[in-house]
Amino acid sequence: MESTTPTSDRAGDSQHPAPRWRRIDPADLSWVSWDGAYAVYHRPAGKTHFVNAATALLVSEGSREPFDAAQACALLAAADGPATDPSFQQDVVATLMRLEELGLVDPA
Amino acid sequence: MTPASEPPARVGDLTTAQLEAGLAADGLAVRIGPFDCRIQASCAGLAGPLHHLYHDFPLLAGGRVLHAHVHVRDVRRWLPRPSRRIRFLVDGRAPHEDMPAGQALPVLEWGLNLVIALRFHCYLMLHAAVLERGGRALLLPAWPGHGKTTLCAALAHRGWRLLSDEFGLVRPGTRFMVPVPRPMPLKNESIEVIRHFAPDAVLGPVVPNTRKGDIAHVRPPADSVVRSAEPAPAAWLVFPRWIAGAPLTLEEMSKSEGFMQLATNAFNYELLGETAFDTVRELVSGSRCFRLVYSDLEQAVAALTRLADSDG
Repeated sequence: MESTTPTSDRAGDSQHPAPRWRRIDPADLSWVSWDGAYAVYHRPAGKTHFVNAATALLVSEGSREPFDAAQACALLAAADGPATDPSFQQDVVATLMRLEELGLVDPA
Repeated sequence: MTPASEPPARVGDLTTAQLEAGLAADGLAVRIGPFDCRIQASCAGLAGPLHHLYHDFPLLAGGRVLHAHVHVRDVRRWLPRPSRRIRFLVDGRAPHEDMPAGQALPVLEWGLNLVIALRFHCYLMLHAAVLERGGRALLLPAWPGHGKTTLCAALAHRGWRLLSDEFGLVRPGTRFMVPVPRPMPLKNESIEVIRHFAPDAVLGPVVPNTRKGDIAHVRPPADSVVRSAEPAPAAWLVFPRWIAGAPLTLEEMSKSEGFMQLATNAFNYELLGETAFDTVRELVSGSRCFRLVYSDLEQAVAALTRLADSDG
């Protein structure tokens, strides 16, 4: 069972293009959910992860075309309403970086 | 006693002397739940307790393939000073260091635990006690020290059928619990707790000063052994915790938390991969999940029995 603390330095800065991701093949995942909490089995890695609804949305509904953090935030806003926390986009980037480390999203 | 012309059907059909002779020779093949094992013993003091604790277990006729051959024997050392130890062997190999003399019974039981835990990955294995009432199974997943075995022994003597005190064996992809009833090891104060709670419980000898303290085993009720080919579907997942002086709480928890706790509890979850994920999903989907905190055994048993009897 994996934590969600990112360790990558691929977050992007003024001298590097913003990172982009793409959704992995849905056939690689098996899901179960109750009460807004999700467990997902990642077949290629043989690992089980426990994620909340927002993270599950990023993994399962993110585009197969490359998307950036702003597009991910828009996806979440469409589901849950606009975020009010100014650090929201940073948090989404951190989550996506961690998901990339776990193999639950692919770098684009 | 079975007629002289028929082979003995159960361990208890032998005299202790016959059992001792059989153990010391080629060993005796015994069915323990889904496992057929040959038990051989060439050390003092084991035949009597085995006759007592495995009284109702079926003996198997020769000439069959067995899951394991276990042997407990005396070992004498001369250096650095003369001593006697007990060695556990499975299929001729010693999986761990020799143990102190006089602890043959717990060494055998721990050895059988090791064999099951390492070999029988045809099941999802939970670290859980399992009992059945009204055709439905209660699982008590818990780590050591949480009072699982004491609670299990108590329930087994109050109208619940024992499936297992240690290994919750699940048929993959289902929520069916496979019985593997065995002698239940009580530790330290729990020995007197169960003697008081269930005066009709049959206990083996107290083995002092083991690595887990003083241990005495409770014989599984005869009905549990006779019906050990009857699986039961899981209906309740109760995560117990004994805390001295704590008031009783039996609190329903979310299925998502139940899933996480159960997946963490399974011995071979990662080994079985997606099969384990699917099996835990089946278990949790079909069961109610609870957290139990207690200090009074009577109250805990009553609460779980009320849950089972009222949960249509």
